[in-house]
Amino acid sequence: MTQTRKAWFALFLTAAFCLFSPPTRAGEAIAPCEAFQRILFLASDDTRLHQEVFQGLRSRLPQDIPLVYTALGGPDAAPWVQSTDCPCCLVVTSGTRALQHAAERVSRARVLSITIPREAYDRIMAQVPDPQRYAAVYMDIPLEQRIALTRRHLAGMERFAIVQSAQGPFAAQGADDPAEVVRLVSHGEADLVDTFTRAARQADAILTLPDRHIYNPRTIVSIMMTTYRQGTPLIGHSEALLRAGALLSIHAPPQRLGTEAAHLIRHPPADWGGTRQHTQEQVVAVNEQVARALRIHVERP
Amino acid sequence: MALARMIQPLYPRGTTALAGLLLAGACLHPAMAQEDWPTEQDYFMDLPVALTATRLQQPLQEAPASVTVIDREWLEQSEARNLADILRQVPGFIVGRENGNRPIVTYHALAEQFVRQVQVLVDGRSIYNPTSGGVQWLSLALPPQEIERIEVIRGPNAAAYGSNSFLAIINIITRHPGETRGEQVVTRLGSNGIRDLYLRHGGTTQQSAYRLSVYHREDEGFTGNHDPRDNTALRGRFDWDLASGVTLTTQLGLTYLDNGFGSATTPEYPEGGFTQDSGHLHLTLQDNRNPDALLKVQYYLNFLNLHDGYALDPCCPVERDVHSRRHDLEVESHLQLRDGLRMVWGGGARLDASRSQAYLGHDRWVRDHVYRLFANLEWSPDRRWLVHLGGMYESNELSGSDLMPRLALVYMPDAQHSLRLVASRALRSPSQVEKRFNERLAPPPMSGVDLEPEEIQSFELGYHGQWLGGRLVSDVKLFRDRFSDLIQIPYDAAYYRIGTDGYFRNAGDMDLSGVEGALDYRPWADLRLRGGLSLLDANPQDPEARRQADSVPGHILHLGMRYHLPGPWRLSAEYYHYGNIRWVDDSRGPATDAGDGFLDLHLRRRLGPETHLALSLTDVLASGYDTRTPASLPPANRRGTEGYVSLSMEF
Repeated sequence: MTQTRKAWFALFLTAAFCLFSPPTRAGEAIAPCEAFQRILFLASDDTRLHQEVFQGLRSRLPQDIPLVYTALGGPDAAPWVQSTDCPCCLVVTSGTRALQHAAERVSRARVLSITIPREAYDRIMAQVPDPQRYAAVYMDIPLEQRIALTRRHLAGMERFAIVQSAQGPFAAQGADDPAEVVRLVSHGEADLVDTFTRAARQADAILTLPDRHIYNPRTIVSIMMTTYRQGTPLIGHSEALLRAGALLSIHAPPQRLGTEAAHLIRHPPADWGGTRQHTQEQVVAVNEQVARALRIHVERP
Repeated sequence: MALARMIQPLYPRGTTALAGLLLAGACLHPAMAQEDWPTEQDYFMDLPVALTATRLQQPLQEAPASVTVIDREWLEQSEARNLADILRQVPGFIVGRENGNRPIVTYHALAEQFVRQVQVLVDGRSIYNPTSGGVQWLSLALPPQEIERIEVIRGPNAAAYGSNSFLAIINIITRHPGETRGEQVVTRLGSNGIRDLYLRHGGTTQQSAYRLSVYHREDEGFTGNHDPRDNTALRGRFDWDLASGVTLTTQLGLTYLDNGFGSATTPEYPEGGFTQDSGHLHLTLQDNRNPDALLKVQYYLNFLNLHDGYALDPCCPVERDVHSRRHDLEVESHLQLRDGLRMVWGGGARLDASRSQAYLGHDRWVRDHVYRLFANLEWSPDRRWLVHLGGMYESNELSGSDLMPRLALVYMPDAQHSLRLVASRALRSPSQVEKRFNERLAPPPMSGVDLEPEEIQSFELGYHGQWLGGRLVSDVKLFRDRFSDLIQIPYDAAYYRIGTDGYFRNAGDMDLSGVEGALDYRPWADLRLRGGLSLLDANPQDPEARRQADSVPGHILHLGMRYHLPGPWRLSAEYYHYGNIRWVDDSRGPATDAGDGFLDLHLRRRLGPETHLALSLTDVLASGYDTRTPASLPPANRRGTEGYVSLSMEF
């Protein structure tokens, strides 16, 4: 109860401070800050995913740094966002919707976006007038890195296939792909099995993309069974794909996304607004059952 | 509430799985569903586990047994109406047909209409009939469309599957309903009254997948016999993702059949018929959260009510009704103890119940319990060696307690080739009828004789190899099986009413040895060839086993082909032949063979993405008789070429 009162008092002070601070306009350099006066963790949803990210963040920040958790949809989200919108404050957005919300409602505080893929971040930032307040650690791992990691663990992987939907977010991509990557397009669930069969025949492994038109609970069984029958492994982008039957997953666990953000907060770069980086927290997990069934030896360098 | 969290730790570690589950629900959020670019939900979306440890196939190079796999690719092109016909493509399998549209399926030996030494499992559910023993083939109305693959272990493996896994084990793995979404209709029309219909509806929700199907088959049976078949089955399967990695699978089935039986030309088999209703409920809970520690709990109930009767004399009809129930509960754990060391262990309890005035002598239920503990260890000291050690300890009210062990050594000089040495012991416990029949019919002192289980000791030296970049797969084995305490069934007295000295007894030892080879060859992408040859030699160790030794053919041969012709056409052909067999239940009859062999041809044309039409001709080389001749005690089965047209459409 006492803690709650303290929190509300801090909220009042921060709100008063922010009320009298001038807003930052586009093109204007952001004020230097020795340390963040207040940090708000704004989650897209109050789910355990974001709670885990927050837990990772909290665990690596000194306890004296004021850090508040809130989630969109919660009754206290709006006042907290408003009260943290001050020049030396920081809003850590976790998730796509949280960044969208911050882009619309936060005008003075700096924003650090985590738990967000680069594609989503770029789309939102395209509409933001003052990007110098924004920094990001993307949760996705670039294709080239995934291929390199796969090759470190699986010998003899030369050709990779990617299956993407015709209407999905990756439809325009592929021009910059490495030469060993071939992309196949699925035009709907009706041709999914055929597309994966062709992909499996053309490649040593199939790299998955976060394309929900392709990979979702409805289709995943068909995809896994098709590629398994062809003896071609799937290299997943998430732990769920690994459990579903992918041979490897190369992903960043939520808690480690939080710890990575904590490092950035403790050691803020001079060029805050220029900080856009992919996560360095890359975990390669192996489904031993699948490796055994496909008789694939996984190296552990 | 959110404020309180700023100073309190939230949740313990390892909650990613649940987060995924919650996110899966969040994916239904309309706002998010409309976003066309990837969000964090695409990285943490929960997904059903498709490839579980039980669904994955053990690599054949590492298998501690001779294993034949009829895979989905082969099944997909099958136009077979009966599962038994598909099993002709398994090396060493004897497949025949008996009056009443009943298949006879055995491996190498003990060929008769009541084969009791083969185990069949459907997703881990045994369809063994506890009352009279043997497989309930008639209840198994499972079309190829619903089967993922059939794994056949050629040889005993009671260490893993328990008693009655004696000659061979047929593991049928059905397709995940997530793979059979939408509707499918298959209709079949042909000669000899062939009228089949298969209807399927499948779908998915965010956390479940389901399939419902109806399968109806009709035909007139053998020409000249009165054995038409009218068989309808309803099946359902529901897979629920209770939590991330935790799945509950519910399978339900009901089958009703109305078959004719008998022949006008065989007085001992007057024309009649029987009906049978049977069903099952199968629940499987699998915890796949930790890939290194799978836990599986399953329960199933099988039931069967057979209404059978005949009348040699119109005044005195003989009723042979049988009611059977099986409840089975089993827990199984798969553990990866450390690198190179895996274990599967578990236990189970089973209740078998039967009621039959005709076979048990009273109209009360008899119940027998079976309890079992099993463990199988696989140790790989290095990448070239695998040691399998396992055993099943079974306490069986019918045959006492016993241990059924197995030891196998696999040597893999490289990734393509392996040698295996396998030694195992298995039992076939007497059925409930066998155990109690003597009490009712046998004259003293045999009425007091207790039946012991049949025993097999098996030794096998095998080679498995892949050639031509995996396009040619070969498997060869030399084997020697020692059968002992074979249960002699008094067919003459009890079944054909010849003589009166009918009682069940353990008598006869037999050695069976031979060589068996199998090939699976893909010369090019459009052609696949399969073949197998078994050369067998049976030696009875005493005169009592002469009958069983005579049931072993000198050879069994099968050949199969799947060919994608240019354009929308596909051709498949299957040939099958076996040497002379004197059927155990017809020892006074002549030995029969497969004549010129059984040849089935199927020509399929693709009409659309999910539509095809097929023309099938079965038993193209038909001449003579199948299994029984006019000199046999049971009615003769005259072979005939049949043709049918199948249309399959998926929506």
